[in-house]
Amino acid sequence: MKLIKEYLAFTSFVYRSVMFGIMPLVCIAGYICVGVFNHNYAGVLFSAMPVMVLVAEIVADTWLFGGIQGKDAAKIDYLKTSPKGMGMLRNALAMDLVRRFLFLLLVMTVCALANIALGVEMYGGDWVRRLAITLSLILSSYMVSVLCILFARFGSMLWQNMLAAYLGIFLESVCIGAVIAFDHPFAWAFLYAVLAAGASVLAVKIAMKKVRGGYYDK
Amino acid sequence: MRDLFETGSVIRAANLKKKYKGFALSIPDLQIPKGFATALIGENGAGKTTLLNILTGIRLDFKGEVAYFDKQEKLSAKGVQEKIGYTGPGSYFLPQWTARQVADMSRLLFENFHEDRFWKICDELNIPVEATKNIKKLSDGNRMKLMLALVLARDTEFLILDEPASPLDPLMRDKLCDMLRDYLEDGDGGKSVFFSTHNISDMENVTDYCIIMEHGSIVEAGFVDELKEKYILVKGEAADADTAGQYLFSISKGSYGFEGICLAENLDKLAGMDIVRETPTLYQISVAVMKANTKLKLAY
Repeated sequence: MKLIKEYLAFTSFVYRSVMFGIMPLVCIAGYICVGVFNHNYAGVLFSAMPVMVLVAEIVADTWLFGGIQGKDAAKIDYLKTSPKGMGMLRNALAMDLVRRFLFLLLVMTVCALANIALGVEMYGGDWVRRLAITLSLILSSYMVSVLCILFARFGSMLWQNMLAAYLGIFLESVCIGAVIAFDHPFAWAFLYAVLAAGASVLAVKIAMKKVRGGYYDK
Repeated sequence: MRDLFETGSVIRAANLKKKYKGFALSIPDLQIPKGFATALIGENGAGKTTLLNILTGIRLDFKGEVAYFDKQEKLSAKGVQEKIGYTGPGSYFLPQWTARQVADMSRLLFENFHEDRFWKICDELNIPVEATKNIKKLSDGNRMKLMLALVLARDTEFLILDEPASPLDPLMRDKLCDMLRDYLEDGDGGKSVFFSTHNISDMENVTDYCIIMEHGSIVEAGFVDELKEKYILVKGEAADADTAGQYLFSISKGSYGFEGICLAENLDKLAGMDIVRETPTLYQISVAVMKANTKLKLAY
């Protein structure tokens, strides 16, 4: 509960409304609508969904931790005036990553369930293969999203995050292409899981190192 | 370290040293009296912000010892940072934060934060704190007011304020002095304030004790009343200006005569001159001391 409170303190009302409410609803409702009217489009959209989510995540990060690894943010003096400040920031950074993963998991799980309910054909093969591909898409999207925000957070401007999002679209397209083209979805899922874990650790460590650097001549 | 003040010290520091390229802070002994408002005065680059950053714990790469409050505890001791409120220039917040977020954070960061008091002070100071307004959209003055609201909404014992008056308009500076005076009175001798300022005249009526810094060192310190006995404002005839100038800290000359600040102990050296003695303001004392120690090339 404490971790959630600490994370929520870093999110503005607008960010919460968009990223915790509107975005998941739009993604899920939009997908179901497409699925109801056209199964072929839904199949394509299912693969595109992780890309759309990561673009939204990277751009929205401008209003959350944008600029936290920038030169000026090394000071964030207000947090440093409390003994709890650095711990709170670290927890918020970590919780943000958890929230990103859960957001993707929720959207992709609901879309996959919608596919089953609507009879949308995707990827072929048995349900285990489909599950592995879906898992690969979730993990790759999460990993690319974390890697892109890791770079975007060195700046605080919206265009920098948008640029990172373009990079994210390219990287995620490569990741999805690799999963679909080479028929070893579990291997890809494992690889993306390892990379995602590494990216998560890096994202927290680099941000904390940058902010803590303000205590010293760094 | 022996306590300099009858009321005790809120901070005692010894052998503080911090080096930057082209600048060195070196303070062998620093004490801030408990229960008073202490002004830190000095020209740009004198080391005021560096000193305040060290005292608030937002700079850790320095040498020396700093002890806080009656028990002479370290800053890392339990509860010490909770008792200190700090406002600073520059990147105090992330620019995308809103006042609402800052209030939420403060509730988690400080056990002694009273949110209702915070919003009341925001209202009193007329800070535009709409839910969606980012702090970067606030003017410098309103940002400073927000910082003041945050520290005054907590039950602190010691405020460290870096240039609180600079971004404020004259009316708000007057209000700031009132707020600081109220803060000290509320503490009944237990609360203290330490602030840096270039707006000496505006802040004089709230200043009890004064420290003047130049080139990383303290060049003068004392209670304002004592400084006003130590330094005398002298006015005299133009013909005596050159002779008097040898004994004055600073002098301004004109066809009408001269005016300068003299150490009281040197007054007898001006014997025989037709001079008028007056009590200087803190501004006049500070400028005189700074002029005597500056590296600026001033024309007299």
